[in-house]
Amino acid sequence: MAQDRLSASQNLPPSDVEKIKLESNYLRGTIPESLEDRITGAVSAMDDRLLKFHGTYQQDDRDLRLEREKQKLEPAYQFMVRVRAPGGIVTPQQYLVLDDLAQRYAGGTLRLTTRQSFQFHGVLKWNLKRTIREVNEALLTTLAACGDVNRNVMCNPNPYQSEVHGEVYEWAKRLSEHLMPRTKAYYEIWLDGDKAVDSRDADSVKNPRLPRNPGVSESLERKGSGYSEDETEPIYGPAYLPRKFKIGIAVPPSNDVDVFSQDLGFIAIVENGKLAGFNVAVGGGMGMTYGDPLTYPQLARVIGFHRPERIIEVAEKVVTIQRDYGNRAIRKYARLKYTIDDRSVEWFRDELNRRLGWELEEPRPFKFEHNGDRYGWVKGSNGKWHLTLFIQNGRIRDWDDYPLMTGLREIAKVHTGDFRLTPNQNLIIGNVSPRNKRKIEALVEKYGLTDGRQHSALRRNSIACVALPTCGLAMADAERYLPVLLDKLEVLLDEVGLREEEIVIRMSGCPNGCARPALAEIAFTGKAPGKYNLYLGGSFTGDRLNVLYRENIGEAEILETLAPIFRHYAAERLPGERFGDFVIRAGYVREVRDGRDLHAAGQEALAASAASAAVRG
Amino acid sequence: MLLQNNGPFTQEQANWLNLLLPTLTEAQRMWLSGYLAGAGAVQGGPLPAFAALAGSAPWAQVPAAAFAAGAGTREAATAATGLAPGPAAPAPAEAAGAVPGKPAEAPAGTNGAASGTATREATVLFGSQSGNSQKLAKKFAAKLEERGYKVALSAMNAFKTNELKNVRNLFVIVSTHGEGDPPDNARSFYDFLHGKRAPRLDGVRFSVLALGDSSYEFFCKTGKDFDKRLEELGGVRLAPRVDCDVDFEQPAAAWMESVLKALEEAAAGEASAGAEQAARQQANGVAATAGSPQVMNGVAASAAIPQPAGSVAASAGVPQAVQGLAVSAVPYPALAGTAPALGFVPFFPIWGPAPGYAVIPGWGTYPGWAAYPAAFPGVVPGLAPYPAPNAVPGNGLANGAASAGPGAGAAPFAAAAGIAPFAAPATAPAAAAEPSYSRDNPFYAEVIENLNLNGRGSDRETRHVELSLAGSGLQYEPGDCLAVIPENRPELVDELIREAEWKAEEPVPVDGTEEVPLREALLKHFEITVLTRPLLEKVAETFGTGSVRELLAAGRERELRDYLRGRDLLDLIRDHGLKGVPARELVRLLRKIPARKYSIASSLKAFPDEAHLTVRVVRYHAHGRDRYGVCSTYLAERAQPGDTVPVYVHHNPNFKLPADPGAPIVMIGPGTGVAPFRAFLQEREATGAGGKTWLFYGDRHFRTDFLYQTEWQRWLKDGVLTRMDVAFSRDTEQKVYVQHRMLEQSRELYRWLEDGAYVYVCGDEKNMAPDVHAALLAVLQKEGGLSAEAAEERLAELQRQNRYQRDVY
Repeated sequence: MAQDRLSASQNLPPSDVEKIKLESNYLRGTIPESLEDRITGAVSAMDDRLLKFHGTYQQDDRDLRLEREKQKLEPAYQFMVRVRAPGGIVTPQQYLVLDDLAQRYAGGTLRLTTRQSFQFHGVLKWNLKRTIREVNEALLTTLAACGDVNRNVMCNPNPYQSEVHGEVYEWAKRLSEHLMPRTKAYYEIWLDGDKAVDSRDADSVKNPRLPRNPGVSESLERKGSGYSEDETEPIYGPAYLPRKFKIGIAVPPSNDVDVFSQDLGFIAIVENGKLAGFNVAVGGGMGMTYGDPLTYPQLARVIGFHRPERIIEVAEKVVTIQRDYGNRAIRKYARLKYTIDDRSVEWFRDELNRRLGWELEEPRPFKFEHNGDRYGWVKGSNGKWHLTLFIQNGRIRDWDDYPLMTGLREIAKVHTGDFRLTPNQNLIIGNVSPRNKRKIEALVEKYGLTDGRQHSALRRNSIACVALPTCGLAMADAERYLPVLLDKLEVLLDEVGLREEEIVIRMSGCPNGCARPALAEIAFTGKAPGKYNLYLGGSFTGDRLNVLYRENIGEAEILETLAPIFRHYAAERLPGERFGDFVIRAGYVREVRDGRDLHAAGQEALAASAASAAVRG
Repeated sequence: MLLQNNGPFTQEQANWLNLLLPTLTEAQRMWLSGYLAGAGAVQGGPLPAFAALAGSAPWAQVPAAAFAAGAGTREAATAATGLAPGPAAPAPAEAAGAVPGKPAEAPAGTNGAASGTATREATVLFGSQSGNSQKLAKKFAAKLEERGYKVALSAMNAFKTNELKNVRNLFVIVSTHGEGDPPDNARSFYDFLHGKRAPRLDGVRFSVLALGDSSYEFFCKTGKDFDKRLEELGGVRLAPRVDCDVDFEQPAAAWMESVLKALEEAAAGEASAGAEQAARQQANGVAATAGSPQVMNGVAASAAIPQPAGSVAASAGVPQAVQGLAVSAVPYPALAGTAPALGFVPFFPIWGPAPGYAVIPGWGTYPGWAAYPAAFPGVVPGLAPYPAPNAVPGNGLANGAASAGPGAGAAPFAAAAGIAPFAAPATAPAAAAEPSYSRDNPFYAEVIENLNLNGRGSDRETRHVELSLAGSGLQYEPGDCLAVIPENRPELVDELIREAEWKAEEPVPVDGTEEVPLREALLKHFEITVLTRPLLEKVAETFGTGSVRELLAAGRERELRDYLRGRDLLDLIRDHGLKGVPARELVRLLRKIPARKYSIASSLKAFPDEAHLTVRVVRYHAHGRDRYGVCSTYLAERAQPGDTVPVYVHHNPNFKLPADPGAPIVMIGPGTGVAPFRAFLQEREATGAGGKTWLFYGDRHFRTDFLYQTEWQRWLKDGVLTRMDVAFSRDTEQKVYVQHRMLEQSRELYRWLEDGAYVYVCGDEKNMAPDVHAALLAVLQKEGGLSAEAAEERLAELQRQNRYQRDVY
């Protein structure tokens, strides 16, 4: 195995996906033909890649996969459709449209994602166009909700300081719009828009400009922002980015967006009640590949500060650096964190300053206190009320004894404010007028909606990604299993009196990190059905990476492993000491703040736990 | 060469082997491995070899001679051939249908040359979840191609398992997931290879590259399983398996090198062996060119060897083997007959010269037989290709005699002796008359597979039933039907007996004289689910039932019709006070249970010795009771793999592929009407027919009711199916049927007709067929500018030319 990512990708041709992007004619591919093909519920392999840029993933019901193969039926193909809304804010009218679409095309369920998006699952190919068109008719979009572009811009939905939040939210929206792909393909394919003129001249078709290979691109520097002669995608160019790109804006003291997990994070600096500007953090990311120590979760590094109005400029330049230097040969090495770690943070700051033509200022001080949600009713500084509801794992549907979806629909019918998705998969009924508050309260009561108070603090601080059966990457259950595991962990916590102790716990079905597991105090990533890696030692504020503590264990071992640690914590914690801090002080794992140190720390922890097991044995 | 551990052997056996193995020359080792593989292929066990080695049986001289021959002496080879002079020779020769005369035309050495080329072929199969195995497989395939190999590279689930018979060099690259599970795209192949339908792979050279993650308990389990299984099936490990951890590049590269090296060495060995073969064939010129008859003589020779009474037992034993019972149940003396079969061992080209090689040129004349004996269904344990006695207990010998004709005496013996490879290939008409299975003398076909083709959530159930015709000699062509003789539903029979106050054990006559207990008679012999006017007349006459007589009165035809529709014998007995009528008298009035005919959904060329059926299960509620289609629910609920089903072939000469393989065909077959078209396409694929094909298919829901969806998809991809249009009636607000798709495509459809296309319609007679007929007329009118009459005339003309054929029901 190559010792580093750059030499591993040296002289390799661009990956297949790069080729697909270049040949797609700005994301068109043969999507219309694929949608028309009646013989399969799938789309072609090329269109499958391209559809992501349009906000939809082809998936299949993995529970049925083997059964159907035997039955000589193709997999039960279906599509996940992701609706992006900067900062996760939609109107009640928009919510009602999404609810209606979910009933008609998506099996009567909606999901709130960890990036403040809505997701439909189970949409059939024949209904895809209708679904996307109706989303757009509601003035929402799916464009660039997935794919190698900037995704939904996350933003703290802070209901406490409404003026600052309003200002930050406006920047999030502008960022989102600025970094939206410019291709007309989306409108042509889904909205029957006029076919845009193909802006590529014959020359560029024959000889598409390949993005540079990492090894090459350093010497062959781009002029200016590049691609300027190409009107279609002034920022991205015809090959778009090497991988997905994520932006989030945090407003301290809340780090609910997990700003250090973002490729590009902005931390709002509020001075004297006013937004003074943003600290810039770059190169965070959650994903890794099992067995490849050259991949790891990483924390974004704070590299400077700028005034608010510079935010668009800064984001665009960061994106273009990644566009030009990101790894185009090996996709798993293509995230911005590796682009930076392969060179250095200093190099990145210099390159950014050079592209900006001005220098970032020194970062300003800030303090995060938590990365979870504050539940229940609060009154904002604008005199409006906000209710944060606990939505377990972001899953909205009607259960026999819990008509959540109906309840939210009834609220949307009378609500005059907005709906805000939190980065922790919860939902805020926002900007409720004092007059309306009672009405909403009555509906909350009637449908048994909850702020989570009856649950343990652990459950209220839990996140799980969707995973099985729809996600093609999942190796184990997450959304379907975490609630079950929590039932059992709660018993352990009850025994030692920790039921009301807030501990951040997250579960992802694979190591790609949709649940942002690498930052949790307790985390699981799926290895195989029923088997997980267990990580410990993230912080309550999301500024530290957790460390692999046990590998590939099932439920019994999970409980066996955590029970004594909970006991230990209950007995010996210092006043106010968080669980994640305690496991480090007690020596279960060591503190890690740089992803490059993660594998070593994990190996040490595994060896230590093996040794102690041997002693016990 | 020493055993590293005891392996499957006892310590004592291992000691013997270790004494022997180091003394063997290279040629001896090669011979021995072929010998064992061949013996295993024939009998599914090592018995003959050890019997021979032990030399303890009276018939030991034959295998012993063969074994001596194996020592590589030319005399011995001649000796093996020399066993030929048997008086019984002609019978099996005819029965086997071995193309007489042809062998003489086979130039000596052809086979050697052919096998030389054949081994320059390699099959690389991968099972991959994340793409690593696939990537490695591609890489390895490229390396093989660089070295001049013709490489078939495929994901396991895309690999057609019936191709296995043509595989010489098999390389498996597979990862392991979860709790030791195969990757999704390896699952079906894994199950197939580990199941009872896995073919023998004798002499197939293989090697396995396993990918895994050692942090899992079942590290590389799938690769290990394949490695073990391929060996069990008779494969020869060319290079040891390599298990790769997550960092797989290096070990994978090392594996590739070791495999390539081993391949080169094997090829070098073969080249010299090939030269030797050619020389030998020259030397044995007479024997060699005498070809098949000599082979037959060889077989006959064994039959001619004085046998203990056991030889009769041997033939009686065949049905057991056919039924998949333990092969060891075959009476031991029968094994004597395996000796000549061992002569085939050297037919595996890779094993080089060995006794009896002289017979080989005869084989070379069958292009389809170029593979090694494992290709022949006869050597797959449990499948006998020869028209063997029917396996119905107590029925076997009689049937065997009937079906095998004059050769009957020898034929079953031949089968028992494991000379099955001589049986005619399924597609060539057997010299012995085709067995006359019928309603009264059905063949009991074993169910190999029985699955529901409708996905979860469907409101329909369609069974895909695979039946083994092995041992029957049954022949059919695409378009033919298989008749199935069902049994009535036990619950219904019991209710009937209870309602009529009969006794289940009371003997009643069936077939005139034979008497069986009532319950069995009602289950297996009589129709009890359909009421007819003649039955009612007889009932009225026999029992003088007034109410039945009234129903039959003139002028009440309509009432009678309404009554008969959807009612059964139980209704009749309840409604007309027939409780307590004597069972003996009533069953005398009943019809024999009729066979149901199903369009066969497979081609013998694709699935030798099998017939597949596509059966829609009929269940409905009428007149206050749940009703069940007799045959469809019999097949769906009471014909599990391992059970046997009485069947016979019903030929349908009016539904046949055009004789011209280049003629375009248009197939219209919604629902189970699609069954024969699966057979058509299998046939066209197997024969490499070049004509264009167009299928119109429809059902209710795309997601759950798209019968054989993945097969059509593969054929579309491979070009066997040129185009396909589908209509799913319940997926849209407006119901869409095949005729709508035909009209949508009227211009193109007309063009096909003008190009000489044959049109086939199969399925529902009541609605679909007339609608499709009307659609065809509309196309002729619209695109051909014909009047309504002219269009009718044109269609009638097409019908006369056999270009418009229908199988509707």
